[in-house]
Amino acid sequence: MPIINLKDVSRLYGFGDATTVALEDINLEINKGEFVAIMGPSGSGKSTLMNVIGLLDRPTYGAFTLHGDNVEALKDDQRAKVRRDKIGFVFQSFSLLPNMNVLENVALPLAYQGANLHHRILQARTMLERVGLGDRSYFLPTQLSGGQVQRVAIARSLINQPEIIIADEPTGNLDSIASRLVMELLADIHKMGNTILMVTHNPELTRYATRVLFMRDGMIVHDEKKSLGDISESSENTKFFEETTNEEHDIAGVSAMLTVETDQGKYVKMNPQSTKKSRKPSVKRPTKKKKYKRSKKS
Amino acid sequence: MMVDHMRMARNSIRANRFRSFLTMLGVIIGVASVVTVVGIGEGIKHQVNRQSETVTKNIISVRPGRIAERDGNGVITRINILPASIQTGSITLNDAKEIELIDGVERVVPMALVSGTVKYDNKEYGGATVIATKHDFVDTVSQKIDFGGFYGDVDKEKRVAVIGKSIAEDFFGEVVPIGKTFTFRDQEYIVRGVFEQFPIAPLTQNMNYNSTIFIPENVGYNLSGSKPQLYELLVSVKPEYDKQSVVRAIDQRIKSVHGGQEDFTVLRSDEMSILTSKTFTLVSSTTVLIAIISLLVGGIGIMNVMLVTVSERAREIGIRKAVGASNSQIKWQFLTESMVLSFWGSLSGLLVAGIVMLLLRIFTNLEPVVNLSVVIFAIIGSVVIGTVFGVAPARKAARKDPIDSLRSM
Repeated sequence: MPIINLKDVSRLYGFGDATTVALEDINLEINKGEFVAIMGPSGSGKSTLMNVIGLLDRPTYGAFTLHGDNVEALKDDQRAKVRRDKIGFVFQSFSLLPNMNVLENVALPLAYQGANLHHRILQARTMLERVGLGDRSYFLPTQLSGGQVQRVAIARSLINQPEIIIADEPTGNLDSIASRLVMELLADIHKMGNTILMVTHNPELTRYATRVLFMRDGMIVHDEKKSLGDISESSENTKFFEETTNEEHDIAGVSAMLTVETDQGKYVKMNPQSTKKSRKPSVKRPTKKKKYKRSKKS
Repeated sequence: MMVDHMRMARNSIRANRFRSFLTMLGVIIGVASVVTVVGIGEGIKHQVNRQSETVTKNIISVRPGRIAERDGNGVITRINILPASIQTGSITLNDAKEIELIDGVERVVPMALVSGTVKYDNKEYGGATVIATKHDFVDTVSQKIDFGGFYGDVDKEKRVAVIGKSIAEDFFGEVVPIGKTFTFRDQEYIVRGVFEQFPIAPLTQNMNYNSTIFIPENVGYNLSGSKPQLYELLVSVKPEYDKQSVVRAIDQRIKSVHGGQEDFTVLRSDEMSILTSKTFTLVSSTTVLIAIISLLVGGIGIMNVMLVTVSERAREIGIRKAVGASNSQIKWQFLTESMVLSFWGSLSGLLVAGIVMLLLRIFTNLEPVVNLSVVIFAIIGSVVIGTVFGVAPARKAARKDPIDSLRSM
């Protein structure tokens, strides 16, 4: 039985004409022990999918079972309980609480479980040893490097022995050395039988994954199972900064400008170098943003 | 879990020390003023009690003007603050003679104010009150003479004076100015004795005898012309008689002498403190009201800052929710924080009140005391206010959407 099962899951934001579709009819099964890398351009719905699976967000339509239990209709506090006991989060940045030391940060999920202080500290120390930061227990997050912060965040995500670890671009702000350390840590955790979902923009990192999903416009457009150690081939063909210039733009004199879509909206990127290597996308992108129609659902 | 909330509250209060201080400021000021005002009031009551227990023990005071109203049982029901010193003319030496005839009265000592300023060494001194009184004043008030002695019956017509401690120090500039002469209404007076320090009681209608110059009655009466200005008759009661019945007898006797006019007040010495506390209650109740309002404003201050904090700490709330904090756990965390803030605010307020009261003791003649029940009330009151005003921010924090919170920053 799959540990995660999404059936026709959609997530809509806004009402009426302003409705945008973040996820559209997603069907996804993830089995225990899989390391899933999710790729796709900004605004393609990766984060929303992660939030839905991590029970931070609720699907507008569709069914979501976690370990066979229906979770899409749970109340806030019940969802908090599921997050607390079954899911570990690693965010891209600022994932630690600045006022607490490393040990307290790692022990935080246990505090919400109501475990006693002694047990919490013991567990947190073990986890910190495991990520190789046992000697930084009493440091504040601001005294750590970016890579160390992410390793602490991973220690925290592991402390409640979760069934799923959700990592949203865990290496997004790291240099290649720190990023390798973090990825090897995740690979280690995966080897011990954990299920990991990771959002990434870096095709290189798919080498740690057993399965790669490509998303575009709220849909999973490509689902590839692969063996560990290989870089996903199709990822090479995906480009992440969409070139939006065309003949019209050339005439208008804005050819050097590129727009980049993020969660927050479209930005104009002034650096054309970043797209130099990009080739034609393997997946066809609809020219216009799709408006969701309610009639389609009923 | 509560312990954890407290630890977290401590962490975030420490992380923003200055802001936390500003948040607590309202509570600090409120608590400090409540405790100080009540402390001063209590202190004055103690001081007046001490005075009536030592100096004027077993004394009945007859004063001009209607200071207090009594009910049928002789219990004081109402205080008139103003008229006390205004109607100085209503008591006469004749009243004193009448009182002497009453059963149980041992002695009547009239106290007459004599107007004028004293001069010494060609310097005028405005801080002295000159009172003409009989030689047995010293026996009536049971107060020791530090140096020299009081004038006797034979000194009735002599220009001698006995002075209070403050006069000796401030006017003559020495501890024992015996034999020194000063000028009063163009006549020279010789200092015969210096009183020991009288216990002082601020805010009473009692004279401060420490800055008083006592002169023999006849000398004073001559200066006042035909009618001496009596501001008080001190009546000592024979020990075997009940004071309250003597009070009633005096009251009736003078009333009949004055033709049924109630233009005087008869008070037992122990009633002076009631008088004072009733007077002070008027002052303190308004001040306490203001202080409670400032405590409320302090609570609103906490609410404001906490509301701002909630928006500012959205990221933190998001992370906490992501790792499994339930809404009520978030709510309690923020509620605990405002409770801890108000609790520490009240403790700091108590500290401030303590310092203020200490300074008052050192630099003024007030002797404020710490009232335990007020202290407890202040602490509990602040924590209750912190809790009440912490609810809105805590609910706001609890209801925050985790995704929006995580996206901020």
